[in-house]
Amino acid sequence: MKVLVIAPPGELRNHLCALMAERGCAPVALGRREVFDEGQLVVTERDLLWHGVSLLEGTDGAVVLDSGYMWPQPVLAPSAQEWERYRENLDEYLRNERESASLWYSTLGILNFDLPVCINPQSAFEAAAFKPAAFDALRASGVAVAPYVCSNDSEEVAAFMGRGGPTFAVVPDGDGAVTPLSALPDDLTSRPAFLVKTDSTDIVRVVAVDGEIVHGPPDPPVPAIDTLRGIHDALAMPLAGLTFSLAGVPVLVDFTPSPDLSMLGEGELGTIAGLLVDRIGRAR
Amino acid sequence: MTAIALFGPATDAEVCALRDRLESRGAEPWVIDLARFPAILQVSLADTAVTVDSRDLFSSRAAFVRGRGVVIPDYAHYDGRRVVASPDAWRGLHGEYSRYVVEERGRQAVRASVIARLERVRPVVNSLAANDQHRLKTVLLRRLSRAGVPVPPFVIGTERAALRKFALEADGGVVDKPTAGVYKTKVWTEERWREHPWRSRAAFYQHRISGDTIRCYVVAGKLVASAAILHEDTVDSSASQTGIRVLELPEPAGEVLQRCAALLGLHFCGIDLMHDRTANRYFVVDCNMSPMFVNFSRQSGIDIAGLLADHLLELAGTPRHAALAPLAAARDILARDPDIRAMLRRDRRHGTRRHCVAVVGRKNDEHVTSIVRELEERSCDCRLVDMYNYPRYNLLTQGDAVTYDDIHVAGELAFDKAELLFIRALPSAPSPTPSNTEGLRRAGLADRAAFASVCSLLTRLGGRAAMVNSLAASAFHRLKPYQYRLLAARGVPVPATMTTANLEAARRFVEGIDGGAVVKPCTSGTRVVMADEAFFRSAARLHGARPWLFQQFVSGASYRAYVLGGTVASFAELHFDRAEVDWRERVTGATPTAAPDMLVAQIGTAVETLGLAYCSIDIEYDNRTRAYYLLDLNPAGLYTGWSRLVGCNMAALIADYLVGVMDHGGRLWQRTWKGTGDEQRET
Repeated sequence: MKVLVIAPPGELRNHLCALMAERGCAPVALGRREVFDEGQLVVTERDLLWHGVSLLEGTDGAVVLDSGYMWPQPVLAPSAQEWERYRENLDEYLRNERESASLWYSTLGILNFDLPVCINPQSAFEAAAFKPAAFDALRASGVAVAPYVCSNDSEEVAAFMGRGGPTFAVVPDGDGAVTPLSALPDDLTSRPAFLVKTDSTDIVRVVAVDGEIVHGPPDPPVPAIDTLRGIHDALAMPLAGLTFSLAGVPVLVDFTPSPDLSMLGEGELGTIAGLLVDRIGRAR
Repeated sequence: MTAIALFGPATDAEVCALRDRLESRGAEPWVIDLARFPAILQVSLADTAVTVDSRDLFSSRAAFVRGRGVVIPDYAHYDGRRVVASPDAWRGLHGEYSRYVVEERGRQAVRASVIARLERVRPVVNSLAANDQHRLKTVLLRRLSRAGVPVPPFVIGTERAALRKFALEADGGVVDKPTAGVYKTKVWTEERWREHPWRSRAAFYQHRISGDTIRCYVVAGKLVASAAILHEDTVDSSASQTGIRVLELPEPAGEVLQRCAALLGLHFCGIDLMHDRTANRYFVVDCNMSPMFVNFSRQSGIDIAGLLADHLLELAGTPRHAALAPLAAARDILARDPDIRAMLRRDRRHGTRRHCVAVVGRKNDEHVTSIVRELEERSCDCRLVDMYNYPRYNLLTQGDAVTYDDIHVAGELAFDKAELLFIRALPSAPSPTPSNTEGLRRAGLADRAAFASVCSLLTRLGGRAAMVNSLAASAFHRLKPYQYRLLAARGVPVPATMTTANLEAARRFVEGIDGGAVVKPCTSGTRVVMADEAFFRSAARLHGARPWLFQQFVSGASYRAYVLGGTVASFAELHFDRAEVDWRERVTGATPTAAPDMLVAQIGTAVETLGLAYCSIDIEYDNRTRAYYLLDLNPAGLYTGWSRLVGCNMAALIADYLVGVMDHGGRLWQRTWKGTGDEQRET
C-alpha cells in the first residue's frame, strides 16, 4: 500500500514514515520546500510526477500534516534571510510567493481529488483558516460549540465578555494557543477579537483519529466523544487536535487539522500511524 | 425592497454598474467593502447573528462577490520604481512587515467567514470555493481537461528538463503563463527557460494556440456575450488590447462554455477562448470568477451588469425582468445595417474613439441626468443642451453654415462634435391665453421664438448627425390625428377615431360605436375622459372653439412598451383602478412580460411608419374584439418612473442603444411615411 506523507522534512516525518512502513505500507514523503529545493515536480493535465514517478498511480492515499499555505492567503511572513535577499525587489518575492502557493495548493487539491483518501482534506485546512465560519458550520451540524463572538465592535465584545463564565481568545485563522482573557482586548480596529465562553477555566487538548482519542485525558465524558465524532462528520477531519472545556456540558473551544504530533509519545505516534494506515486501507 | 449584498469596493467600476442596475430594478444594493474591515467596517459574527455595521447580514437575499477584501500584498505597485533602502533600513522593516502579514491573515479569516456564513443561507455569486479556483489554474485546467473540455496541453512544475522537453516538442510553440493570474503571458524562449527562478517558483507552460482570443461571459449557465479581443502583436491580448468585435459563437463552442461554468460551479464568469482557425477548434485558456465587464459592456453594447442583476434578483426570489433578450435582438438589427455606421464614421471629425452625444432637454430633468450618466459611463462625451436656457443662445444662419456662438457646454460648442443628438424634450411653445398675464404672454412669445430657432438649428444638424428622434418623428406626439391615420393606413390596429369640433357629428360617431368612446386631446397634456353626456354638456359651452379626438373605447388589459430601434426593449402590463379611463398617475403596479409576436410585428410597423427610433407606446387589449390596439406613441416617453416601476434601467438601455448605433451603425427609423399606396414617399 503506497501512502504519501505530506510534511516538512525532519525527524517527525521520518519517524511517522517508519512507523507506517512497519505497518505494511510504503510511504512517500514530500514537503513544500522540497518541491523547489529538489526541482522534481511536474504537473500535467494527466499526472503528477515527483522525480519522474507518478504520485497518483498506485497510490492509495495521502496524509497531509502540513498544508503550508491557507488559501487565499498566499503570502507567508518572510524569513529574515528571504527579506534580505529580496531587498529592493519585493515584487519578485511576492510573485514567487503567489505562484508557489498556487502550485502547492493545487498539488494538494489534485491529491485530494484523485486519491481514494486524503487525511486531512483541503476543506479541513480551509475550515481552520476561516474558523468563525467553521464554528457556525459545526454548530449547525449539532456539535456542542462554545458560545462565541468574532468582532471588532468594542460594545459587542464588551457585552460578550460581560456574560457569565470565563472568556478565552482563539486564533481565528489557524493554529495558536487558546488563552484566557480578563480584560477587553485593545486595538480591535487592527486585530478583531475571536472569543469563546466556557463554564470553567479548565480546558483540555486531545489528539484523535477517526473519533478515537490517541492523546488526552483518560476516560473523557461521553458528550466529549460525541462532539469529537460530530467534528469528524461536519468537517471531514479524521485527524484532529481538539480543545475542550469539560465542565458541565463539554463544549468545543478550538480545533486544528494539523495537531503538533511532536509532543506525542512513541506509543501514541505508533497508534496514530496504525489508525491512519487502517483508515487508508479501508478506503482501498 | 430586496436587498442584494455586493462584496467589493464602492469605487469599483463593476460594483458601481451592478449597484446602478439593481437600483433601477427597484432592489437595494448593499455594498460591503470587506477591505475596510476592521479599521472602519464593523463586523460581528456570533453563534446567534452576523452583523455588518450593525445591520443583519442575512437581510440580504443574495450576494455577489466582486472582491473579498484581501489586502495582503500579492504584488508591489512600484510604477516602475524600486524601493531603495539601505540594508539597515530594510532590515528594520522586516518585523513590521511580518507582523502585518500575520495580522492580516487573521483579519482575512473574519472577512472570508462573513461570506461563508452568508453562503450557508443565501445564494452567493460566486462562492468562496468557486472564487478560489482563479488562482489555482493547475486545478482548474485539470478539472476541465478531465471532463472533456478542450484545454491546450500544459505542464506546471519545477523540473527544468521535463518542462524544456515539453516546450521543444510542441509543434506550435508554447507560452509561459503565471499560475495565479496578475502577470502577463509571454512567448516561451530558451532564454526565458534558462533565467526562470526555478528554486523560487514553478513554471507554467502551455501549447500556444494561434488564432483569435475570444472573451465570453456566462450568466446563469447561459452564454450571454462573446467578442473577439482586438489587439496588437502580443501573445497576451490584454497587453495590447485595442478593442473588441462582437461575434456569435457556433453552438458547440457555446456548449463548451456552459459546461465549463457548470463544472466549476459558477453562476457568473468570464471565459477566455482561443479559436484555432486552422483546425476550427475552440480551446478554453482561462476562466475568471469575478471578471471585469464594464469596459466590455461599453464596447459591445451588451449590458452584462443588467443581466447579472437580473440573475441576482432571480436567485433572491424576485421575478426576472424580460427586457434584455430583446436588447440583444436590437443589437443584431443594428449590426446588420452598415449605412448609418458609415455616415457616423465619416462625420466623426476629431478622430477620437470617444463618442460625442448631445442630449437636448432640461438640465434638472432626471431623465436627462440619468441618460447623461449612462452615456458617460460608456465613455461618451455628453453635451447637455438645455433648451430652456434659450435666452443665452444666439443662433445665426449664414448661408449653408449655422453658427451658434453662445451654445457652449463646458467651454465647448455644444453640437460641434456631436455625432448623435438625443432629443429628450424640446421646449414647449405655449400660446398665450386670455387668462395669461402679460409676463406669461411675453414668455410664451419668447418660447415660440426659441422653439422656432432651435428647431431650425436641429433641422440643419439632422443632415449631418443622427437624431433620436428626428423633429419630424417627434412632431407626431402633437399630431395625434395624423398619427392614427398613418398607422391605420399601414394596417396597424388603432381604435376607430374621429377628430372634430362639430359636437353633433361627434355624438353620431359615438352613438354608432358599440361600447362607447373616449375623448382625447389632439396633442397631449389633457386628461382622457368618456365621451358621455356630461362631456357633451361641458363641451357645448365652448361653442366649437376647439377640436376633440373621439375614439372607440377599448378595454381589457393595459400595457406599455418601450421601443428602441424597432425592437421592444421593455414591456409590461399596467395595473390601476379601472374605474378611471385615464390611468396616468394612477398606475399601482406593473408586471413585466413578453409581448406577443403579433403585437411585436405591429409595433415594428408603427415605429417604422412614424420614424421613431425611441418611443413609448400605450397599448390596450380589448376583451370584446380580442385585439391589441396601439393607443398612443410617445416620441419622448418618460422612463425613469418606468425603470423604478418594472425594475428595468431604461436609461441604460437607451444609452446602450445609442452607443450601439454609433459603434455598429443601425437603422434609426428616420424614414417617415407620408401616405399610403401610390402616395407613399419618403422624406
